[in-house]
Amino acid sequence: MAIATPPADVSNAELIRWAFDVLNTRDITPLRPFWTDATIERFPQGTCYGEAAIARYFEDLFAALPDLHIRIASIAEHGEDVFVHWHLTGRHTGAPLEGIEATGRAIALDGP
Amino acid sequence: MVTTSPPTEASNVELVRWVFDVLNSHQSRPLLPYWTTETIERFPQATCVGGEAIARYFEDLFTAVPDLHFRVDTVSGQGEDVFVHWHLTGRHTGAPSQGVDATGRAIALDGMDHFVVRDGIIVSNFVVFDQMQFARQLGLLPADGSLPDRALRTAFNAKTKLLRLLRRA
Repeated sequence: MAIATPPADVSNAELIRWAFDVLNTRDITPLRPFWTDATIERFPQGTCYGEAAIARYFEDLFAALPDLHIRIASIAEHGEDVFVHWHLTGRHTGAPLEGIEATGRAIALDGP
Repeated sequence: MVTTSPPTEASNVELVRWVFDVLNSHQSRPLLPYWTTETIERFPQATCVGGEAIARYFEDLFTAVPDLHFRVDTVSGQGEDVFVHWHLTGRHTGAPSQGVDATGRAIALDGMDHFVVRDGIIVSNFVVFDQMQFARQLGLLPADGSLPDRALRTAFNAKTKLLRLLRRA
């Protein structure tokens, strides 16, 4: 599948767009080469250090929200910085999330 | 001294940087010409529509947190869109904030703004910060993983289980 490999010679913003496309397939495998052991991903509820921890975070999220989808509303880049305004939708029907068991509730969230 | 108007022919990014300088001088009046009655500022806890409502929001914030300061960490602009990653510090020593009386506690928050700037006017700003972190710093919510926090989760899960059993019955 084309999405398994990142687009070649693209801007940082385009790489991030591709990363969101990958997340929407709910298989983070193609993203692993882009994280190192020193990559920091800070979420409001916890900070993940390194590829393994970040991958686990997303796998837990996909398990909790099997229909998770993230839509990109807006994107801007400046040098090394890429900002994304996204909209997440899904239903908590799967595994527990943040220690909360599935309630079947719909989630619709905007993020930076 | 902060100038009462942005640099002439400011880019959208320069306009937004100036907005933060003005907020750090604890003023909102110089910003009124850059908001319209239709400007929407969406905060996690409320949406303000129109310059007057937005100005009031910030004035209430300055009153609650008299030493409020925003540090601009990163700015990125593309067309009408300007994003800012900021760090807010201050101490809740003044008026009540979000219905919570001053506790004297220190606040240190990271957040992001997504401004839409058109023809030198702010059309909208979408503001995101960690509301739970903010509530915990105010002392309104128990610390993450603390006994009361775990008790809350346990009680919530018990309710879910009960509802599930009732639905099956």
